Amino acid sequence: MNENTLLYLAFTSQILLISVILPRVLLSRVRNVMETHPPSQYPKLYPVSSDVLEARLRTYRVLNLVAVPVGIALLLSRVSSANGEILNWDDQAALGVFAILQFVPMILAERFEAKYRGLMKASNSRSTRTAVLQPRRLFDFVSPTLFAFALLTYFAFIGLVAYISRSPFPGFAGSWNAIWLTVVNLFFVWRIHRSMYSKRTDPYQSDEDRMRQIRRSVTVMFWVSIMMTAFIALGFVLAATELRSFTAVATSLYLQLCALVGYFTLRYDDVDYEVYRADLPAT
Amino acid sequence: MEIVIDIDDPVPLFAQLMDQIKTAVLNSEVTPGDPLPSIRQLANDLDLNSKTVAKAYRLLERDSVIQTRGYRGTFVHPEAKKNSKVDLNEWVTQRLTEIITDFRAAGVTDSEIRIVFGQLMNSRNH
Repeated sequence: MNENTLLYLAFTSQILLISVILPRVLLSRVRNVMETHPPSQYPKLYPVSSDVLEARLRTYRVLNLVAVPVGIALLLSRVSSANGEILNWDDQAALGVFAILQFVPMILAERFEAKYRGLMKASNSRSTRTAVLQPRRLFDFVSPTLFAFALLTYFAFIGLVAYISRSPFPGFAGSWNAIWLTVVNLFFVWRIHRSMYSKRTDPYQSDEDRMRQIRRSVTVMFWVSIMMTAFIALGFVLAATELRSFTAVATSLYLQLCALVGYFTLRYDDVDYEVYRADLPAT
Repeated sequence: MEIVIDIDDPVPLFAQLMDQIKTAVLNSEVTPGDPLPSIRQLANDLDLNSKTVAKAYRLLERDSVIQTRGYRGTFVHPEAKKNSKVDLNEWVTQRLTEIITDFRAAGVTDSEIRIVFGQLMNSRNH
């Protein structure tokens, strides 16, 4: 199997996974929650009407579908291209830009979710607030093994950059890669701290659910950091071993992996929905 | 151990927090040496101003119910159980009652006591 066939397969898989399969899975999860936990029984779960929610779900579905023909057009342009590039552009860059288009519906959905939680908070009429009298520590949410693995990956990458710097290949950005990776990891540290200590966004959420949600997002951030380091290191190896043409395939696979890991956090099957039930009338 | 704060309760929020932590200590739901959440964590979880939680922690530390160990955080004091039983309000009331009784027995009038007490409190505030 040559590099072109691999790229076509990876690109097709990217279009299908990020714009068709994963959104469909997410929509079916949300619809399932709406069916099994209707507004009549769980009013606290719905600060907006079902119609508004349905409209948002439709928009999400349509925006995802819009990316499909764009992806197919890019793929066809690559197949018919004389110089073997997408729209006479660098394959890797074209795949990255297309991925941004694919992630737009997800970013919009997250913005809507933030607004949705804000409305939940505004509609909360309870005067009581609860908290667990226990400090939250990093190792409550991530295993020491994963933490050590992430740290090791980062330092191995710095070592690799230092090693390649002694006899760099053409196009090697050197320490800029290490600086960029450090900045992104510092951003992850900030995000992890925020998810552990920030204010409760869902006023009804049980403490167990909150801990589970924090654990999931912290674990995902650790994995994304490890994958990102591994991906950049793989790019170096491919460039150094004259296999640069496989970089676009690696980029596509990396983006798909990121999407899969991202969707992993969006689970609704283990939520305690009883907290969203209607309050019993006072006797 | 769960803390529950009622924002509609006439009891000040910091006092509710202090009472609940003392109750947790007395019921052995937290034991000496147990770590407590940081001021910021508790304030964010309870959606309170961090100054409110800081005030509760400061007063609990004064009462030796909790202790702060620098950057390591806040912990339940080794003598917390004994100190949680002390009702400062009751103790101050009892001591002042004794002193006022002595003054009255010595012939000091209530208005004289009030004036001196006010002056002392004012001078302490300056």
